[in-house]
Amino acid sequence: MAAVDKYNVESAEILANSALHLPITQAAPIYEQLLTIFPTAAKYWRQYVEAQMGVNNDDATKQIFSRCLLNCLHVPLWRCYIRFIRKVNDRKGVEGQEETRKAFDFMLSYVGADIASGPVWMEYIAFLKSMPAANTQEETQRMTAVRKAYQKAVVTPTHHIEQLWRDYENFENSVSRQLAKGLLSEYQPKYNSARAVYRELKKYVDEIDWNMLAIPPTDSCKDQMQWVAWKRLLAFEKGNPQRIDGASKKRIIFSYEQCLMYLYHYPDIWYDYATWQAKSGSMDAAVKVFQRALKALPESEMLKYAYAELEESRGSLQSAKKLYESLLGDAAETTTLAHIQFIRFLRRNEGVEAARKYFLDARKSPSCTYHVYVAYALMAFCLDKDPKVAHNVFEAGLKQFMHEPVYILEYADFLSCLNDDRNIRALFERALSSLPQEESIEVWKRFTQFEKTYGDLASMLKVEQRRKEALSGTSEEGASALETSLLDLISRYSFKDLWPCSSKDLDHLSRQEWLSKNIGKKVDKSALSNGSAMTDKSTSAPSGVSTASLKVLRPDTSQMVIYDPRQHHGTTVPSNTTTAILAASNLSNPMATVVGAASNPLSNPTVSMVDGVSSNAFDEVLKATPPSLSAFLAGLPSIEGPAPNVDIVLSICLQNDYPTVQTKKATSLPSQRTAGPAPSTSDLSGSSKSHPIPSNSSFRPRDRQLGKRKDQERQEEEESTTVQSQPLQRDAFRIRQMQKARGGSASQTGSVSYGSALSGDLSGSTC
Amino acid sequence: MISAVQDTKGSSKSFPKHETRHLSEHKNIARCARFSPDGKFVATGSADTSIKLFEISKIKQMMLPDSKEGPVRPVIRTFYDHVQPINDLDFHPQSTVLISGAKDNTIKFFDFSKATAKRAFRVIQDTHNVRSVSFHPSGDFLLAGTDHSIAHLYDVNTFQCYLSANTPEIGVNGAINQVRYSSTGGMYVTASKDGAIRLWDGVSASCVRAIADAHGTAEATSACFTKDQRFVLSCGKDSAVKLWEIGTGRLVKQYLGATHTQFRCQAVFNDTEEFVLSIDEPSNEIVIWDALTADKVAKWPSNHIGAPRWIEHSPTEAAFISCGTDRSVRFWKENL
Repeated sequence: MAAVDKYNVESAEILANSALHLPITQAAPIYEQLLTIFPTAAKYWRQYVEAQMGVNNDDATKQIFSRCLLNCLHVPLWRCYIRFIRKVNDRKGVEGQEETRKAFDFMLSYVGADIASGPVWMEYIAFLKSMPAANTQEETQRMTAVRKAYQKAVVTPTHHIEQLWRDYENFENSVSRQLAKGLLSEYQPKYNSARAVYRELKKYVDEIDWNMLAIPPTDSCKDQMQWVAWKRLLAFEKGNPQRIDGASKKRIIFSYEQCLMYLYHYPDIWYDYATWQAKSGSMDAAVKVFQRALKALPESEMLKYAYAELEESRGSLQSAKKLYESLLGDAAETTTLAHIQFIRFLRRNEGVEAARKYFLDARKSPSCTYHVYVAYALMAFCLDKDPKVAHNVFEAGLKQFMHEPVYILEYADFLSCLNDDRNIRALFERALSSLPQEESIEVWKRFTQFEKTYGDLASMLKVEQRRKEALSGTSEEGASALETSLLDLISRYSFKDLWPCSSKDLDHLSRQEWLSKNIGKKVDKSALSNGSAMTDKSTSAPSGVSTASLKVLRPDTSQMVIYDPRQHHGTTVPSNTTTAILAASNLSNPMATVVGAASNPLSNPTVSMVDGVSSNAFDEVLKATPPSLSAFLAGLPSIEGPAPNVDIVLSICLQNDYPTVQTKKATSLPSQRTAGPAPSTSDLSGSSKSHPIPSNSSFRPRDRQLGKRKDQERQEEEESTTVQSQPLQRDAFRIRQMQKARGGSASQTGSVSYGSALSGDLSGSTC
Repeated sequence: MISAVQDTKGSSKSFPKHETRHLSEHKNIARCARFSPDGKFVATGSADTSIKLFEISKIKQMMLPDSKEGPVRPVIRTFYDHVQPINDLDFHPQSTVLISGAKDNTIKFFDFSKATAKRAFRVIQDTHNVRSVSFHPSGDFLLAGTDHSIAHLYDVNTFQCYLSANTPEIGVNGAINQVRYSSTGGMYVTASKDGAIRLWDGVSASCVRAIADAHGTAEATSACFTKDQRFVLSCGKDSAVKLWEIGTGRLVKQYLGATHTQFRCQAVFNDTEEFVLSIDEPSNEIVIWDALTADKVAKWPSNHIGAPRWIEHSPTEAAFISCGTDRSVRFWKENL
């Protein structure tokens, strides 16, 4: 927990801010503390050093600079440094100026390649120009110095490269027009290439967060993106985009150094940097990188192995050995792996005897596991070609690791390399007599395999039978496993990836086996529906027959809440609702379903609700429907498509002769849609009170839909418009036409509900 | 993995050339498409409220250069039953049933074994705009992603609706753009308007992982599992296509270089999961990446007028379908 808190970025920022307002004596310890956690945080170094400079504490300032400059290639920090140097040397005359010039050179050799170093170059040039020149010779010297600075600056891809080029042109022209032409045309192509590189480089640099604090890698998206951004920048620099010779390597080193300021805790970057150095021939530099890496990440075993590998490969065995010894650490904490790797190292470099000696020591270590025995035995067998030693080692280890099934298997493997079937059998028998049942599964498996390869038919069958008996009690194998099944035969007669049956047969058999295992459980239905219980029980069939493809996890609804959409409109998690409410609410559906069936009787005879509750309701509604309405429904034409022509439907309806029905005004209906079921509609049929018929004439919404569709053609994004927010459109023409057609007749109610038949609209507004 | 990214650079597979064909035209924007699990059918849904069902064998017959018996019609069914635009479709894993979720707050069941049926034989009335539907692999349950921030689980046999009993805090903008089951039903994933990708336990329906700003503040528009259920591929209106490791919630890969900020853009795997397909809206192109190296391996003009709305790949072969604002449906298959 402390480790996580240590790198807390927010609290670090707060701490740094608080230090800003404190006197230096109080702030210094805060900075020191921050900088031990974030040793590459240039912004804190800068803040620290500026605080010291603010009180003219020159010695302390110098000391801080000496601690941070080389690790923090950060232009603002370095500019701070040059400001300090200039201030210190201000009044020291020529000597001071020489000091300052040296400081500039020093600085530019470190951060001159930075994309933000433009102002530094300008400052440097301005400084050179301001140097006093007593005579013509000194003037020429000064001019040469300025020219050199310009020529370096205009081939460096920086933000200010264009301005620097213009300045350089002016400078040359002011010195000598004749010379200028030649010099400028020489540098123009180099400048052009640098400028092109700058434009490309800027894209990569812009991706990088230059304010980030160096924290250990996390899985956060931002960290990953930063990592990617740095990798891209490094790859770009490695491509040597400027096609420059020696300076390219310097730029790559510069990029790596800058990268490590931010990705200080990333072992992969350290490793990349070191291997790149080694590959480009600078072994010593690579070693230095590894040393710094281990200082940054002292716990990283990976880096230690990587470093040791480098040392070993270049023949520095002593330092490699030291690294291995550091991996071994304290005797109590040594890992098994460290023992093994060290034995191997010794075997490679100091010979059989040294390795043996160390193995004998390691055996006594409390952290020595069976791995060490296996590793050493295999080394003796494979490298030293000494089966006798290997055998002895395995045998010695067996006393200690009889209870480790993996060790038994390794030993058996070794013995089978020797073709020593008698000893293998003895080993299996010995191990199986002492191993507990649940740990012996793998050993039994190997024993049967072994008999398959080495034994005759009788011993093969015998071991298989014994295995079944031995394992019959475990959860892995059901009681039925005692019976010999066809699957066992398949496993006996298959070889590698060849099977005596098709994969379909296999699937079939394993499914059957799974089913037979579940025969007993089927009675308890709830257990079956519980998906997690099911997967626990379904095991793969013996000898690698895969049943994985059959596993399907089912939702366990007892762990969820019932949601009744109609009762809890828009609420998130409703309280437990009873099924009674659901039943009641279902009543609102059947009407529409009935209507749908009636309207298109030929189309789908299966129209019905499967749900028992609702099918009862269905009947009730049928009974409840007034004869006139039923007749009307039956007479509805079958229609095609979602938007039948209302006029056609109306004309068909009007041709039919319905019994007189009491009515409402059709024109008033659209406004009722949003208001929910109108009371006046429900008294249309007395029994429908409990389940209001979707009352709204749905040729209205239909019309609206048509209008809306036109809207959509104009307005692309349909998601934004919601049904409810749209004003209802009235088709005045249709209404008038309809009224005209009906003439003086008072009967209009039929239209109230037949509309829903056309659409099957189960609009949510009914509840 | 980190070094694997670096190492695999430059070794991207190449995506084979495809031929494409205009299949059919809806009366309004074609908004979604889905293949049946056996890859034999594909259905498209439109803003004109209709659903078209295509038979893949007939599409292929149509695409043959010398089809003898005149023009072949690949559309074998058209369903009209919704009153609002179709949002999403899914096929029953075993039987000949197609379901659709629409803006009219309903999920409708169509039986396409009968040649004459044009209308739904069952309807689920939901409370919200049904934006996405996904069948459980058993076919006994289905999930509906709606304007509600929690997916609705329906028992297909009883129509009972269930919700997760313990849900994480989700803001007001949690409408679900897409919900998808994993291959075993052990998990499902939701992509929401709040930019989050959430993973849910398929058995208990509790939220097991929320990747809160998977797509920043932009909408997450699609999410689907790999077949091995180890990863989730998501797409958002921030123009990002990302691959997440389910076990850790880590961002494993990012497929860059396609801009999609307007529509419910899809990012999908091809049938072998070697490639990822999505859409670049400004250039109206289909973009294909190597799934492992995340390198862009192809960019093809969509042949639609205006950027495609939806892209869906066949689960069984090298073929996919695109749906356009231009109302048309195009089929793409590997050149043989």
